[in-house]
Amino acid sequence: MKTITFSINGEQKQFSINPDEMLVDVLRNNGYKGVKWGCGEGSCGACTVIIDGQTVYSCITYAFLADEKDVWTIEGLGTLDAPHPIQEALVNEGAVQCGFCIPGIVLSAKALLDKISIPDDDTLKEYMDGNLCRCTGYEKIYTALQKVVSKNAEEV
Amino acid sequence: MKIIDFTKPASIEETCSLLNQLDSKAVITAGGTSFQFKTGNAVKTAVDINALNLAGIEVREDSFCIGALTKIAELQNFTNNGWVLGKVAKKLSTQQIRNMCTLGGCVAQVFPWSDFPVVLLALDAEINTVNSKKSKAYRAHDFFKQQPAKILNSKTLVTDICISKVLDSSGFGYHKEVRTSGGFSTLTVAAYIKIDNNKIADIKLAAGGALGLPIRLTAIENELKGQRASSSLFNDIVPPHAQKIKWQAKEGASDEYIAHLAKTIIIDVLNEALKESASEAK
Repeated sequence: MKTITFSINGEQKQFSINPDEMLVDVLRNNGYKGVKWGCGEGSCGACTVIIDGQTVYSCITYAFLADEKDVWTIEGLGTLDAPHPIQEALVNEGAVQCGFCIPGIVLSAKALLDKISIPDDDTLKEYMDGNLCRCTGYEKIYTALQKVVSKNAEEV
Repeated sequence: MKIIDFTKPASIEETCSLLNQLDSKAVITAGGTSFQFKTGNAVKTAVDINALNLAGIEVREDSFCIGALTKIAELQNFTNNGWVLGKVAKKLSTQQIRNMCTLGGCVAQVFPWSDFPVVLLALDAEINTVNSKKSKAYRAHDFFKQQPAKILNSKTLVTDICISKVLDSSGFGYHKEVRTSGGFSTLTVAAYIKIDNNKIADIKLAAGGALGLPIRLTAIENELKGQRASSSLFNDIVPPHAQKIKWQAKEGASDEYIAHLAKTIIIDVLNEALKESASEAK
């Protein structure tokens, strides 16, 4: 076992890892269960986390690559009482069904909107193309995200 | 492959020394996305090169020099006069993969679905490498003649990749045929054309995906060079040559289907490059 240190949801922590371990396993074994184990091959996006402002698939990211980085999971964004605006929009739009893909979808949207607060539709789809949802058919998810974008535009 | 240890050198010198010391037990790691395709039970120490100063795009007078650690997402978002890799980057897999993958990783190992080797062949890129003994530059057509691992072995690093700007009377065309959005390439074609007095002064055409390794389509290039550029010329020249290439069947696509697809896509890509060569905006 080796020790790595990274910031998780704004808090600096040490993690004991096996060199062969993937980040999704390290996070889930340390209580960050919002990081979902989906396809395990970097396709579905359920395991998406943000590292240094960029989304990655944690199921194909070796944990040692997170050493000294800034990692965000869904646990770091909002609560039941005070949801993040992206979470609020998804709920209001009825865009959540089984919910398994939603942590990844929220994080992908957050990473994009932190970088480009008013993306056009093509950019929005480009940045969300790595997250699969097998329940909703995406329409309500995009509507919810477009509403967040519209709100951002009003605030400018 | 099993990773039993990892190390993160701070300089190229330290990296080369570690690679020498670990020899075949080393595996160079940057984005790490290709690891999921490494089968077998080899036991390796990961040499994480992310601390090396090899990321970023340097804009030179007539060219761009791209550090090997530059992420595909950076290529996707970069804009500059004569920059054509944005449209290639956008088509590579999904945003998460574009955030993880490095250009160096895309050239250090060629998979049957690799996009960038095809493009770098068409752009006649220069691939710069270093090991403990020397630095060496390769033209793309030499580098991709074999699996690059044969050149790089486990002791040589790709440091940067340089491409010319696509300016003035030149154009670039690109098409990646996929079965699903974000999927692996069934067929990838890229073309660079330079027009002088309405004639094709220079042309580089490359294809990959349905081939073992990406190749330059030199027979088509040779026939087109010096001719007056037009769609009808492409329609005449491409089909007989495209038919002769040994395309490989892929999942969901027979070799016969790919041969037909290739003919159409090559013509489309040449037309796109020709159209772009006449346009001010690249």
